[in-house]
Amino acid sequence: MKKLFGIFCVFVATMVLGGCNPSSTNPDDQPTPFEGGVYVLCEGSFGSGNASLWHYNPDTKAVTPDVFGRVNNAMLGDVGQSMYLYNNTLFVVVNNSGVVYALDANTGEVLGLIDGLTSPRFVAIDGSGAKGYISQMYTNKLITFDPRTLAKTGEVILDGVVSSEQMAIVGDKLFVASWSNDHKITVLNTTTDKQLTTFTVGVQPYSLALDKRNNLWVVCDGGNAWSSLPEGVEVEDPSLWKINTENYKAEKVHTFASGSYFRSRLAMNGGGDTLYFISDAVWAVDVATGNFPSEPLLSVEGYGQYGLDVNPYNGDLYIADAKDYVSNGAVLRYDSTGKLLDEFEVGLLPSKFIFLAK
Amino acid sequence: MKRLLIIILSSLLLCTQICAQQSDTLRTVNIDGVYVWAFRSLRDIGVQKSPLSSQVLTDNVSASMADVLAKNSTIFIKSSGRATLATASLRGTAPSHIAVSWNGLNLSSPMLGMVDFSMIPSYFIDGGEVYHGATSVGITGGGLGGAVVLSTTKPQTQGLDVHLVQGVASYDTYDEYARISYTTKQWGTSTRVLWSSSDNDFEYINRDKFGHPVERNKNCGYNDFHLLQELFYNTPKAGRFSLKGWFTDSSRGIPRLTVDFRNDDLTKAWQDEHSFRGVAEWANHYGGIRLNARMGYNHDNIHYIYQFSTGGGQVQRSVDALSTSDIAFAELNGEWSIGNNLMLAGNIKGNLYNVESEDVAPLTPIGYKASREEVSAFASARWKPTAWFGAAVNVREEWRDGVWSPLIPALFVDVTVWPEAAMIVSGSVARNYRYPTLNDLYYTPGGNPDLLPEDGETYDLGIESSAGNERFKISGKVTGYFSRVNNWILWVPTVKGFWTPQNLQRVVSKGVEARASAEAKLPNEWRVEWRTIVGYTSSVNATESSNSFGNQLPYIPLWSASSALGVRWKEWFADYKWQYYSDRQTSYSGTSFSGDVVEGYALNDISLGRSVELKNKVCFKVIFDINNLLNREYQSVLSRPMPPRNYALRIECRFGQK
Repeated sequence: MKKLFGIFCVFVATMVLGGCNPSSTNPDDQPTPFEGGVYVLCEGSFGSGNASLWHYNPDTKAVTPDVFGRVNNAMLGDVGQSMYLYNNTLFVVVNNSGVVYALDANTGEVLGLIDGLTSPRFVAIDGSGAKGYISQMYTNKLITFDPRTLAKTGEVILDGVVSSEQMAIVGDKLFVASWSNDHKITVLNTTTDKQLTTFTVGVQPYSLALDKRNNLWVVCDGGNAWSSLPEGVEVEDPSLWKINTENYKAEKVHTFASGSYFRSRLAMNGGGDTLYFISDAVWAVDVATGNFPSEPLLSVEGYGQYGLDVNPYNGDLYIADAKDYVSNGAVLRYDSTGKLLDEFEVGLLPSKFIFLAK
Repeated sequence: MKRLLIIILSSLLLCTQICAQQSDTLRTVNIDGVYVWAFRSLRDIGVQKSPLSSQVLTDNVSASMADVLAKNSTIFIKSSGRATLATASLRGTAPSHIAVSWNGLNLSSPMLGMVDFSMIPSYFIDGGEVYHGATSVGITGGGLGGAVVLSTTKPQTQGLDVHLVQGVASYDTYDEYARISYTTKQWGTSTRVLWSSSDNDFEYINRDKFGHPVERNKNCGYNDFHLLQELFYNTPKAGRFSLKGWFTDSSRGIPRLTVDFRNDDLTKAWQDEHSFRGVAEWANHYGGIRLNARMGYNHDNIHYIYQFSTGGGQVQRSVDALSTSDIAFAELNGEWSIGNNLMLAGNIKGNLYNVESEDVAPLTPIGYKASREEVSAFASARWKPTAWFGAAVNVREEWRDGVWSPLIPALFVDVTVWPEAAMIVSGSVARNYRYPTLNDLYYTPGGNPDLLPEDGETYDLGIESSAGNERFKISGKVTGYFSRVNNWILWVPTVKGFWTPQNLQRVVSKGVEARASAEAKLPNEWRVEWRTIVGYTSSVNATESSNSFGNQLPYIPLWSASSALGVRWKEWFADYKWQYYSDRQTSYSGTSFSGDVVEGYALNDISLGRSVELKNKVCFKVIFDINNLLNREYQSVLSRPMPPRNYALRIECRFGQK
């Protein structure tokens, strides 16, 4: 009987040891500040909570994986949507977590956060640095906040639209694209938050970029068969628009061939004279003429490339390749002529870039 | 807590005081522990199967088949907690690669191809078997990983038998179960009712969020109702007839992610499900011929809603999807024993599927309607020329919507190498196919009607043995396997913004499954039972051109194990259960940064109980459970919290049996 009791005790002890809680992962004690380089935001899989933030130094080609997790001992969240750099604060919008993080751009440390958001998409901060806006996909309400304290200060209702997406600021004007199930751009006065006007562009204005003359470039994806578009609005071919931000007139409209698809948002180079995007291939458009080139800058293979940006400091082109979308992606770095300079592995579904000054 | 403890102790003491006649009463007999000292039957030649004993099925009224399979087989259950979607993976394959049936009725969703095991209460199942790998060919086609066969049977007791169970557990969890049966030699009726509800809002340290706040699990309450009515009629000449109807009404919240920062209560997702499953069965034997015929119908209606707050108390639904499926089936099984050495068996089964799926959240609703007709025929010859050798050949052929499948063959061999220790070496080899689900083919948007079926081959080699006497018994079994699945279907995004399934991958799985059990009857009415299951599963993407070539598949643990130790003394009993899963990848990446891996964990549960029987044949049993005894922080699915240490008290009452 004693022997049996002994065996039982050993058995239970084994089970107990196996059930102990693991020690918590310790964050790096003192995060090493980055000197320049580029942040890469990886969306992660929707519903999995595995978005991640990576850093790449093009000088040393050093890649720092999972910056947020390492520095803050926490998960970034579900669907890394976009990033916005203001002074030394990096705003990271995590869409399906309903949160915007403010990080120290040099280290990745959390400075604060704005939570309780329904479906945050993008951040924009006005010229004074005293007011920030957060767009939301599922509502026509912009959330306003104080970038210095990260306190929510109110909301702005956009009349006549159903959603809000990417934003661009020109002087005291805020241009807000209504992408999801809409076809309009709203203009606000950033001082008063009054709606100045709303104008129509193509169906589902997906992305915005400003050139050196403050022309607003808009790409519209045209919608798809399951878009819940307003009455009277039909699905159409994708289009690229050049809008005068003074009189809101369209100065140029290029309609893409039927069946074309956009894989990336618009990216403007540092000089504001060349517009880049991926639509079946990588295209570079001279904003002075606005003419669509006959040949692409780069051809792309597969279907994974859906993120693109340009380093404003040297013109290098960064393409995010999500590969098969179910495993880690990669980033390809090209110079402005299209010569491949480097390729490195990043997390699941890379899509956005932010470039730091040295 | 103190109050709960007082209630428990009082209940146990009360049992002691009212005990008028001490005997082994409510503890169900463990049929898994029955030892067969003869050679294996013809029917089981080469078969790799794990029986689920009546003891484990009726162990806990709050348990679903997800819990039973996780703790009593090498099946890995992926779940976000109690009453949440629980899918199963066997031998490193996908949830859609396990064929699941209830009294012959296919439970796998024709749209998704898989089963939510959390929707099957274990108290509604009287017998279950897990068929591993090649063995599933004898049950159905498409079970590339295996098959789970669940059944209900006529009550064993004659006359009136009433079984009531009341469960109260942490987080406002209540389980009520009742079974009333009346059985004669000729007739039988059985009614089972189960109602479970819970707030399920446990508190946990959220280590996924910055600052690691203490939070509550949100939006995860549930309310499940099940009713099972069965009628049995036996005649000496015409055979045995039965009618079974199972109705389910369920409403469940979908728990929020740990990384969800939305603080309103209006943004949430939930799912309502209503289903009815009915089966009529006849069975008889004519000399050496056994015949069995079944027909049935399965109606399932699932309403999934995801809504979000738009401010000011207003909500908008981004998903409002209704999925309806209807399945009708008929089958005939036959076995013909020719002498003691040869058995011929055959089966033909027809299934008719009708499905409709529609999401009405968009202004223009999206969805599809589809139907499928299929017939599956099976023939088997089992031959045992000598006492130590047996072989079986199975052949299955399937027809779907006018298209014949390639032949599905399987070969099984048994060699008894040491009769005194019942040591048998068995092996099998089989080819199998799984056809795309209706969602794979027709879902809008993205369905791909050009998909090819997944085809696989699997090889098994196992050895088992058992020995013992009246007082001590021990048994063990080790099986190694290798399987390959080509044309593995994977949903991938398109440039058009939606996902579509493609025959992208080749997956190679290999591993070892081991089971051991022992039982000892000791002096002074002590009894000890022990069982352990260990699984090693290497399941990797073998597509060389793939970005994730060589990586372990998501949510397939390399190691899994479970163990249970039961000690009985007169009417008292105590059970200790342990369960372990190693780290699991959350994607095909193969890296180990945060979010890439869900950390492995071991769980410990303990139960203490006492049963008593009164003079008037009224039996009581009181059981107190502590789950997650060591308060382990863990996740089964990334970003989904699991409950810390929690408690349950169950009181069972049974009367009326002869």
